[in-house]
Amino acid sequence: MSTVAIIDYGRGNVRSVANAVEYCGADARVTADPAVIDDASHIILPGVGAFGDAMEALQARGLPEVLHRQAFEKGKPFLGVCLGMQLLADRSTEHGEHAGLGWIAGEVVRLVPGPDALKIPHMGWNAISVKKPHALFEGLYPGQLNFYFVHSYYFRAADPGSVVAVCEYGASFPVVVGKDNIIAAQFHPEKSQDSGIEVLENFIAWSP
Amino acid sequence: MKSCSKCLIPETAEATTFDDSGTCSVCRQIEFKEEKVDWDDRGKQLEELIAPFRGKGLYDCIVPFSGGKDSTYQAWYIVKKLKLKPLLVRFDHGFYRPQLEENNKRTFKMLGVDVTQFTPSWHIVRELMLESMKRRGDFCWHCHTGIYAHTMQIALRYETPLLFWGESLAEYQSFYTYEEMEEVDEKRFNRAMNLGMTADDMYEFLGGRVSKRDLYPFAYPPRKDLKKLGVRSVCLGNYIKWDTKKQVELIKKELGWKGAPVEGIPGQFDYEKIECHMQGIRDYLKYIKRGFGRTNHLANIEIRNGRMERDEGERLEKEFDGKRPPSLDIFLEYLHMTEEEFYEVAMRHQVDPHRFQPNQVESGPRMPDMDQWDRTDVPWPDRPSIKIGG
Amino acid sequence: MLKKRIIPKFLLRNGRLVKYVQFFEQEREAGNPVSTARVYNDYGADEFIILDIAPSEDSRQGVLDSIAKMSEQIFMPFTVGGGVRTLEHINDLLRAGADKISVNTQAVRDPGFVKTAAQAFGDQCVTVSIDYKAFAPGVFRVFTDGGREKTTHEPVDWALRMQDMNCGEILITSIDRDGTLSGYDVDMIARLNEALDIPLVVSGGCGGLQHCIEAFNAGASAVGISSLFLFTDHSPIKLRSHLVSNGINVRASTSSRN
Repeated sequence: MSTVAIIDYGRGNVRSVANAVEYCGADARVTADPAVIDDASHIILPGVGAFGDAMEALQARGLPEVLHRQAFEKGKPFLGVCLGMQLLADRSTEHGEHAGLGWIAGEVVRLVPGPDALKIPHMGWNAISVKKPHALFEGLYPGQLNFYFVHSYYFRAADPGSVVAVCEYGASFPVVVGKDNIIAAQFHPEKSQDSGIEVLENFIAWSP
Repeated sequence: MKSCSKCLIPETAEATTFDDSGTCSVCRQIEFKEEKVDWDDRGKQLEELIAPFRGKGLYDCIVPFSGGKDSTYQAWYIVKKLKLKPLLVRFDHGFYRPQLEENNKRTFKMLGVDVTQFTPSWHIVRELMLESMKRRGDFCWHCHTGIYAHTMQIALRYETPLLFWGESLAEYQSFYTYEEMEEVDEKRFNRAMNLGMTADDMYEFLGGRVSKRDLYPFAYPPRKDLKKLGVRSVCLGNYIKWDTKKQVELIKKELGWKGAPVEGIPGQFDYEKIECHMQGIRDYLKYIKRGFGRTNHLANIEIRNGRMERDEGERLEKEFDGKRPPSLDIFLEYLHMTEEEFYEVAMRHQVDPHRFQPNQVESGPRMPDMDQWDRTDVPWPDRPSIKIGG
Repeated sequence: MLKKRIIPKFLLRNGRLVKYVQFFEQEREAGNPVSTARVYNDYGADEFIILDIAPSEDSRQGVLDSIAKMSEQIFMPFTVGGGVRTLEHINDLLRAGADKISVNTQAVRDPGFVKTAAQAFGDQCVTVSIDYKAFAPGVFRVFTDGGREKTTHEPVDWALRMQDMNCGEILITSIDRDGTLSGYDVDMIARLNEALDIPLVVSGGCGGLQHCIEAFNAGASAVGISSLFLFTDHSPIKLRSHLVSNGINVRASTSSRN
């Protein structure tokens, strides 16, 4: 059985992620403890809230180094969710300029309402289009690719090659980015009903 | 009301959608079934599914069994074709008809199967019928929950993890497609069977009139228990190509199964829904609420299979759907309800955009076995009113 | 494109689901909170809202326990409100599994609370719930304390002020229409849609499938529904298929599986 470390740095709704992972039949560990993280086969970095505050919280617990070792030296499957996706960028402009983990090249910038005067935050269900086939979406057909989003900033990827899926909201923007064993989604799989559960099941079964 | 450009299904049908050409999603599902599904491959999937269960426990599988056309065919197919030892599980809704019981006696003997039957208390059942009628204009909650919940409970009790239900929901409705091959699980139960009301909800609605344990037969067992047993609960109709008419011919020939006339439908469909003497009321309620009845449904199946022209379907629908069934008298006795109350409740539940015209109702014919339907008068002194919460 | 949302809305009173007409009349039992949440998850509703209408020290823990149980078996977004007064309470609700919290009375008592909460938990987390009532033809006022206390605020002005306090979403409820099945307050929806930049969830009065189309056409981002789902045979699946067939951009796949 897969053991999934769900990184708890005091921000956001980690319980829901853990519940969804357990529902998928895996062992979920909500933790910030390096030893527990080291024991896990898979890692999920969730997060809701403000970027700068979250980076500080990660740093205060020494987590950037711990996670880097797991993802880059040990090559464990790693999933970033929502803010946990954005944190992988080089930097963010949310309430001032903040440095990110810098794992996937790009920056996090505010969604602009655009000519259609769209409502911000981008809140609710939206369809995504998968640009590059990925294990995360195996077995889902296009009609099922609807996921729950809630965010006001997005991940502007520097390398188009890192973009796995995009979504339309005024303009098209990346919602799933990844490279090698690292994958990250702007949407909330733990809140996306059947489709989200299938994505998590795929992640838990993923051995890149 | 809009209806499908191919069949007669109207827009009030529960999960049906219509595409840009005005064709309904059920017609599209049947096209998919005919053209896209590789039934040889599905047959292989069936063998693979069965293999780990064959000869393992007390029974190889469970077949929920009323004795209607579909479950009789399921039982025949599982015993004769798949060579499995099933346990037939019956949940007695209280309205079995004489012809059905006669058929079953014969079927059980011919197939050589074990059968278990559970009959819930009438005192509880009528409380549930009335409450579900008040809240949804549909009195069948006790049957539609009991058939699933009780059967899953039996699977746990006999540690028999494989269950075979009948046709895929995709055959008649759009809760799932033939591509999805739905699992008959709690999700499907909540979505398509229980009218959005669980046994826990009923407990709250009935405010002390029934106890939690009274509702046990209607409560779906916990997911974790079913998961632990490794339950696979599937529709046979997702693995073999469902064809009701052919199947009826087969059970008539092989098992001596006999049909019976049913209220509100043409005699040519004498195989349909013979398992319940309240079927006419169910279909009449659907007509009041949604503007179509069982003849519409049966004609649609024929039209989709290319056995009937649309015009002929329309003609039959006009002649048979929406007639006041004589069994309404019995139903009103069961629920201690007046006919005015019946219409008042039913019409509260009309589904947009349908509007029922009560003054245009004609009476339908009386069924020949009606005298044999049970009419025991059971006092119900503190019967709640037809008002929700009353 | 972003989908329009279908949101069942449930009221909790001492651990039981209940429903009234115009906030106080005709109390009816509405089911078990946890199993109801499960059913609406399986129906593929897009979110749900649950409001504690008689909040107390005792009910608070009960609500937390209920939502913790819900989030074990349902995987959809939900908003919890009723008696939310402190950041600590918000934190407890989010930790128990809520995605958003809704603030009503406390926002009127202390508008800065909304801003502080948005800062602490993110804008998207904070929904401001506005109950309003007409007191003369065409003249509306915001009510607090579960519809008991009249304020001097006009709903559209108040919604704009709350938007300035960085709330993520506005939930409006017409007290006059609540539970009556008579249709949404389409004029108010159109006025609010015109004024606001943030998503608008509308509730109060939904009594038929067509009412939802009217609300969406007037600019609602989401429809909140109670009585229609609780007391009639219109399910979220029926509503969704009707909206799909009528060209409203809601979530749909080839079947109603979501």
